Amino acid sequence: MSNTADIVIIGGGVMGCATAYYLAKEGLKAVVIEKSDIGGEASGSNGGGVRQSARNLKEMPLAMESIRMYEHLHEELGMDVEYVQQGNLRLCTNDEDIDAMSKSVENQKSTGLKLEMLDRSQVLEINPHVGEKVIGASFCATDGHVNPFLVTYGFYKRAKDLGAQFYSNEEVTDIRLQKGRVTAVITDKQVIETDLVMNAAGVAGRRIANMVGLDLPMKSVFSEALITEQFPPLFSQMIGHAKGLFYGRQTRHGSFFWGGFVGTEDYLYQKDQFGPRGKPLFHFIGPSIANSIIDFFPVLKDMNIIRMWSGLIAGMSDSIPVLGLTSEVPGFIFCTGFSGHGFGIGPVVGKLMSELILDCKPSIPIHDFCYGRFNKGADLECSCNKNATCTINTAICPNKRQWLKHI
Amino acid sequence: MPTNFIFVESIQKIIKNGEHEIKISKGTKISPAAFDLIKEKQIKVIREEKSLSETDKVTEPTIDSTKKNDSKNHDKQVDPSAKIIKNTLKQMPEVTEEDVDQITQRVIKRLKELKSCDHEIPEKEPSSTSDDDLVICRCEEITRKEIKEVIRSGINTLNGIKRVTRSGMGLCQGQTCQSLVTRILAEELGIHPSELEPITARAPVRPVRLSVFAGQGKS
Repeated sequence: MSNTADIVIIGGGVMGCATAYYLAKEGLKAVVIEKSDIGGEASGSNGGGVRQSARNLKEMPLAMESIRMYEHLHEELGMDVEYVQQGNLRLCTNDEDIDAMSKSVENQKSTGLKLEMLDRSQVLEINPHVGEKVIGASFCATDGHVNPFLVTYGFYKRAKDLGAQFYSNEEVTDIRLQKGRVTAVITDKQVIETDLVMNAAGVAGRRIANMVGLDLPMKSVFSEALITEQFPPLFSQMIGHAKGLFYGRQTRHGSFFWGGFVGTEDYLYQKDQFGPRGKPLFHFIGPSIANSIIDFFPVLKDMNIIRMWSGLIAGMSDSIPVLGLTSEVPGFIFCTGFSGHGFGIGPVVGKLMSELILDCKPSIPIHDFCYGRFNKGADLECSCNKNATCTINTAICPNKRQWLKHI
Repeated sequence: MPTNFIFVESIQKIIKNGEHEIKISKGTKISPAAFDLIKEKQIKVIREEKSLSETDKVTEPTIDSTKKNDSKNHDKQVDPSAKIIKNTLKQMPEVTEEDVDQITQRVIKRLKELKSCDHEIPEKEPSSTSDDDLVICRCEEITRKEIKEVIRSGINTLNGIKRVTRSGMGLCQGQTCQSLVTRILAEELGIHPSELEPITARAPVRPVRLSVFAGQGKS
C-alpha cells in the first residue's frame, strides 16, 4: 500500500494533534502517525500545568501567548477542557530556594510578566493548607492548569473532523531520503510518500531524527505521578516546588494529581536509596513524592492513593525544545524535546508550526529553538540567520510549494 | 485455535458480486455490523459443516442407539439434555408431536447461549439505543452513550477510552466496569473481546493511605 500526503506528522500527542488541527483549519490535511494511542504517551501522562512562572526566558513569549489561547480553547475545540486559571505557587522551604526563586522572579518580571515573591503569611492567604516547612513562594496569578487528556482529544477530534488522517498503533520504522531530501515515511504497515515530515515524537524524537542522519542531545527522564481519591475542593492553584522536583494540582473531578522526579530529596538521603550512578532508585520515587505531599500539605496525609503511573520526558541538554526546519535535511521539521514543560505551550506551538509549514512565517520568532544551536558546541549559540526562521533559504522554503495552490 | 470472523467487507463483496448467500464454516463468527448488513440485504447464511465426518467419529462411541437416531434427525449435535427436554415436553398435553423437535432445538440453543456469551450468531442487534443511559462505570458515573461517542470519534483502545471518559479511573480502578467497556468496544469494532488489550493495570491494587505509602505512619 502506498499513499501520498502533503505532510506527515510523526507523533499523535498534543503537538502533533494541535499542528494537524491548525493545518486542517487552513485547508492542509496532514497525516498523523502515532505509535500507541492518540495522546497515549507524554500527553497522556503529565500534570497539565499551564504556567509562565519559572520558565526559560526564551520560552516566555510562547508561554504568554499560550495562556491567551487556553482562555479561549474551549470555544476553539467545542468542548470543556477543565481549564482553571487560579495561579501557580512555587513553594520554597529554605533560604537557598528563596534566593533562587527571587532571582527567577526578577528575570521574569523583565519580560513583562506579573508575578511576585510572597512570604509565608502571604502564601497562607492564598492557600491556607500549606505545611510549616513552607517559608515562601512565588506566585503568578495568570498561570493555571488544564486536563491534558481532554486537550489532546479535543485537538484530535477537531482535526479529524476537518479531514486530517490519523493512524494509531502504527510505528514509523524509517524515513526515506533522496538526494538528501525527505521523500517518504515508512511505517510497519504502509509507505507514505511525502516531502514534509514533522518530528513531534516526544521522547522518541531522537530516534526519528537518527532516521534522517541527525542527532539530538536528548535523554529520557523518568517521572512518576500519584493520584488520590476524590476530595471536596481544597485549593485551585497549580502547586510547584522551587527546584521543580515536585508538582501537583486538584483536578475538577476532586482527585489530587501529584507528580515529580524525586520528590523531596531529604527522604531519599535518609533512606540512602541511590543507585550506582547517584540516581534515585525507581521504587523509592513514589514514596518520596508521598513524603513531599505530606510535608507541603499535611491535611492530605490520610487520603488514599488510588493510582500511580509514570512517564518519560524528552529532556534536552539545554532544557528547551527544538523547533523548526533545518538546512541539513530539507523537508524535516523539528517539534520535539520539550523537556517536561511542553504541554502548557502545546496549542501555541501547534499554531506556530502550522504557520511555519504554511508560509514559513511563524507569528512568534522561534529561532531560539532551532536545530542549528547545537552546531557550535558548548556555547549553544545559534548558527542560523536570526532574521529568518532558520538557515533554510527560500529555495527550499515551503512557501514555494505547489500544494499551496490547492488551498 | 484462531477464531475466524466474517466482517462487513466480505459481505459487501458478496453484495457487489450480486450473490445472495454466504457459506461459512463451522465455528466462524459474524461481526455485529456484518450481521446487520446480512439482515438488511436478506442474505442467506449457509453453515458448512466442514468437520462433520470428524464429529461423527468422535461422538459415535459415546452415545447409545436412541440418541444416535435423535442426532441424525436433528442433523447434528448430540446433547444429553435433549432427551430430558423431550421427555418433559411429551408430558405436556398442549405441545403437539411436531413441535417437540423445534422447541427442543430452541431450548438447547438458549442453554448454550447462557453457558457462554461466545454465541455464534447474535440473535438481535447487540447495541440497541434503548440502554444508552445505562451507567457502565459506577465509580465515575460514565454512561454507555458517552463511551460509544468516544469510540465513534476514532478512539479504538481501552486505554484511550479510559483516558478520555474516566471510566476505570475511579476507586475500583476498572475492576467493575472494564468487562462491560470491553464488550461495548468489541461490539462497536465488530471483533471478539479477547482481541482487545486490557487497560494498563496501575499500582496500587487497593487504595493505600498516603502516610502509609510514605513510610511515616501506621495503617
